[in-house]
Amino acid sequence: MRLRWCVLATALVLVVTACGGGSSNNNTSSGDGLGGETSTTAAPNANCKVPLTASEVGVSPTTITVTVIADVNNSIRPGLFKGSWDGMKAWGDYINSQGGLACRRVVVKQGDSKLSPTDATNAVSAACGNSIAMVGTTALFLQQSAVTAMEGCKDKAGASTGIPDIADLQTEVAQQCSKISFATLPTGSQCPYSGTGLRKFRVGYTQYDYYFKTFGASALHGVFTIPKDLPSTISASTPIFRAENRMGIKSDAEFGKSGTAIQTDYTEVAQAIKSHGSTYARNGLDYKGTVLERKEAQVQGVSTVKVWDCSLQCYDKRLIQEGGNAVDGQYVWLNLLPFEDKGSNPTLDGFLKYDKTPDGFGAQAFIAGEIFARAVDDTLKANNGNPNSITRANILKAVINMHDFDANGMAAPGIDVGRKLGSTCLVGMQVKNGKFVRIDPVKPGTFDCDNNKPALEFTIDAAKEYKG
Amino acid sequence: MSQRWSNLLVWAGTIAFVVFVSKAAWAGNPVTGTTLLNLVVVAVPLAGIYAMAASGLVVVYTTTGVFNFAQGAIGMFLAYVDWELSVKHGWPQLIALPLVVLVIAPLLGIGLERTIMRHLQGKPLVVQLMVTVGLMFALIGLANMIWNQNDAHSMPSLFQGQGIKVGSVLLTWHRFITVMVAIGLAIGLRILLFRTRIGIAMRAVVDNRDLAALGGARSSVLSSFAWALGCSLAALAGILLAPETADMSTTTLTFLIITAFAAAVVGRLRSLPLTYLGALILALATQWMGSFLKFSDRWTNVPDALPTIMLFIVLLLLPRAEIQFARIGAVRRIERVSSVRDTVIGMAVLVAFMGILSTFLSSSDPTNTNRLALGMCTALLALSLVPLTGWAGQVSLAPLAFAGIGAVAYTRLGGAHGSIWAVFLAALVTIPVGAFFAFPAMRLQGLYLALATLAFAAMVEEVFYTQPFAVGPGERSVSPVHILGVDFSSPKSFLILVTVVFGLCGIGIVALRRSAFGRRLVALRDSEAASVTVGVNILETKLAVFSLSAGIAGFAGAFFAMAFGTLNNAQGFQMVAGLPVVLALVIGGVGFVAGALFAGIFGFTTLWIQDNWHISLWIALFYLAPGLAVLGIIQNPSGAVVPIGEGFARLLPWRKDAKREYEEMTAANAEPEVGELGLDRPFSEAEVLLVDRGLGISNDVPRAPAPTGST
Repeated sequence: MRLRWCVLATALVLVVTACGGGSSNNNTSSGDGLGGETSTTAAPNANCKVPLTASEVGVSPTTITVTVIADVNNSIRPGLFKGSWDGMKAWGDYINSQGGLACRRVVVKQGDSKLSPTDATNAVSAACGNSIAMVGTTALFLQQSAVTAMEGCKDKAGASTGIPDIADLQTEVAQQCSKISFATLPTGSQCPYSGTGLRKFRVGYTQYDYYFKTFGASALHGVFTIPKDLPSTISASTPIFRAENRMGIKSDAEFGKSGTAIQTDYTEVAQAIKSHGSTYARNGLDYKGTVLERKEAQVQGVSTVKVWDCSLQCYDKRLIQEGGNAVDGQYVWLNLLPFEDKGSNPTLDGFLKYDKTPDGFGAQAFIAGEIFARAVDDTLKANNGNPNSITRANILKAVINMHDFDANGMAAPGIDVGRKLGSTCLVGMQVKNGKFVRIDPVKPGTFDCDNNKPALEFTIDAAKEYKG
Repeated sequence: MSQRWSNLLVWAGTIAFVVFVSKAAWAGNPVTGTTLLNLVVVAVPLAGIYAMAASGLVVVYTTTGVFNFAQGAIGMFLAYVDWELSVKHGWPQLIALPLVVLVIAPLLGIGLERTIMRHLQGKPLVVQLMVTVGLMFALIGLANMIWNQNDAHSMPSLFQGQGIKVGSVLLTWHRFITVMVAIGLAIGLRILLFRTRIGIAMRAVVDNRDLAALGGARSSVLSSFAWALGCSLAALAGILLAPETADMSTTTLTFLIITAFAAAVVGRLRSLPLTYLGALILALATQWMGSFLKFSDRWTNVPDALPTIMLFIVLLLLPRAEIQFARIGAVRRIERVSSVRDTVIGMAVLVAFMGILSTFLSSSDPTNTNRLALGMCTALLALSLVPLTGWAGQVSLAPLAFAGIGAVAYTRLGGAHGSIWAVFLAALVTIPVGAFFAFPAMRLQGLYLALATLAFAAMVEEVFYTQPFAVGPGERSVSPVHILGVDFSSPKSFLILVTVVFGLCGIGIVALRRSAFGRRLVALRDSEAASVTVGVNILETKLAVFSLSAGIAGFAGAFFAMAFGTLNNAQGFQMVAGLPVVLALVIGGVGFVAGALFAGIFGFTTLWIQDNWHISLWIALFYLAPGLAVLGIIQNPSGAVVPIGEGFARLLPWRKDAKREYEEMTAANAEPEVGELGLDRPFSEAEVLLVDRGLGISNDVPRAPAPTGST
């Protein structure tokens, strides 16, 4: 059933990216939310007195068109990633309110991949024909055929430059390892990769060091729940658990659960926590898996767990609405500023101003838009402000050379977009009295970068590590 | 092989399978009294949930003769109605629950019976099944439209998680109530169906509607009551299950019913106690796997496949279906069979049309061309069911499973490089798998065979694709076929190729229908007994038709693989995805090549409308299309292509026969329906006189003219 796969795949990618992806963060994050040399609007660098031309597919004298491809309309879960569409629309409005890009107005087209590999390929082909880049891509089934279409896309000169992809989500290895696909939250996993066998992973220490500092270095041992519906979901989540083992969180028990599991299915998990006196629990499924596990644990009287851990997928209002008091105390770690930080960062404020129904996918899409804006800006800088230098090839060159991105402080500092390495900086949130509350660091607009500690690197065959 | 020996074989195979799997996947956890007690305590509420889901299915089947795929969807929809009242509007559950279960659900059931279900009497099994499948998808679509699935929907459990402790496990009052309600229903329904007049009458109507009517049973009223009862049970199950899901996912609540199929079949869809036993076995087996076995790598999904494995095994253990004499299963119009010449002309027109159409489709955005090509692949797949289901009457719900096997075979046997031979090898590899189904088809008939194919499709989905020799955990690249150096990788050339292939296969199928083999298949559908009597070898015929169907599906699978460009576990060969293909074929006309074409075009058109007409009404129609299709099937059980074809044919000057047929049919339709005299409508005076005279009660009454349309 595709729904359970898609929900799990989404969760998994978020888990992996949120846990680090781990570039060693060499920039000096001031933690003030204004890090780096990034700039949002490209217009200041452009010489708008030059006669504007249609320099590339998707670029006219007056507009720059980008496409956001997302799984939205489908009969199983309508509106699944509509947040990405909304986030990109908000970014377009935000950029245009600041003068647009390269002397042109930004047009955001919406492509619908409909939870289908074929429709994803179709959407890529359509974007190839009318947009300079794909930005904020949130398609779960963007597989090899779509990547082939993406990489073979011809530019205005007829060269197979490919259409740049700046994605929200990269679930498929083909997309993760494509030379023209980049992400707002890169996984940091080894590329190229065949899809099977050993692979090198990177996971940051930040949240674990926080736990060790708070509860003691050897206090945590726990139960892990792995989403087992797809080989890709297993391969994406198992490295997190193995990284945690290597960092010192012993595994008491591991369970494989499906996205269609019901609360009764979690009784055995709660029993395992009780019988081992586990102090740590992490559920790798989407927020719903955490809700079910926490509810069942509450029913079965689990009281030993100190850390209920989760990543970006749990930063969802439905976690609290559906979980109620059962999810109180839940830890959630983010690679971007929480919406509760409104007022602490101008880019975040811009996002919240133009996106009236903000969610995690929308925020990431907005950040993807900011990467594109930065690429346009860098292209202009490299070409003496020539606004007709905006081509796919130049955008790709700019993105590949982008090694210290933070969306003006809205995203964690030090994202190496070009090398596809995420930041190890995080914001720790905890559910307290039905609200997400900042716990690490407490100051709004800042991130915990764990003193720039390098990410843990290790090599495993993720599929073989799973014993569900 | 005798029934006894074959059962022995199945039992031995099952035991060997269980022992082998348990040994291979043993996790090493200690088996103690405590662990076993915990296992039972956890399994019992799960069994209650399965039993609740299955009981509605059994009751509806027992009392109406319809296997209701939409049972779970009805429960889901009514659970949402309960959520709307109790959570959103804050009504006490003590008011909301009885209102939904005792008032709204029965009204929905009566409405469904009046508008849809009563028209299914005497219709072919595949039509009956697909109407409920269409209803299921329509209810999911309707729920998705009304209740935004991106919003939070959470149903609190009864008594807020309090309960009693058994061993180290807390059995919540909610789960306890679920189990008790399940047991109570088993007893109550048993009494209702076997000890009360209305229950006996309901079962009698299913056994023989006419005979029951002669005995005074008011079949239409009883049928309404049965559907009202079935919907109430669905509502109760849905409402009790909803708190077990975090977000009341429409799909989770709906498809849980498929898990319960195995339990229902243990009771042969008739016995509630055996159904509950089946639910308990299923729950215990699930917990056994969860507690003591660990599956990884290629066997990761075995626990998910357990319900369907159990379903398949139980179906194999069912007694051999006897050939039914002196009974008409379903009344069909004799379909007109196209001539090969007409088909060749039609296919040539189709290819030419696609060729012209493709020139109008955008080159820079091949979306519509690709979709059209995929639509033609679907048409090719649907074609595989025309001889099997349309002519031979063997209902298969696994067309995509065979296509998936064909896609894998194509990919592994040269499709990565576009070898033409790989296309034929894909068909050849799939043929023996299809032939295998001829053997259970000798034992199972009708619904049980359909369920066996459904179980097979689910097993293929869960276990086959994950095997390294099939797809494994990665992704496999597929290339479009090369024929004599011609490359079909461009969307337009691929569309033409797949249209030509469909045309050739369609011509072959029509030629087959006009052959002796085709007539044997139709004879098999109409009456196996008569076929045997005239010397038709049933096994041989079934073997041939299952092989043929699988071969075509495998062939279509190769083209699906080309259309997808890659093959992996997430590719669209899931069991559930196969149901709309069968549904679309039934809408088009399951016995016609044109029906298969309709199925392909239907899918393309709905997507095209949704993409290009950004009007909320059309979006709504997209979600409700299956429901509207259900109404269409009821009007035209033979399929949409029949009236379309008849309407078109009478316009052709050389088809005077079609014009005459049309006029005759129009005249016949103008006559009032007979209905059930004395039941659906009162006897008129003239009819009373006529009956009296016929029975010789009153010879002296004056001879009255028979009313038009009376019998």
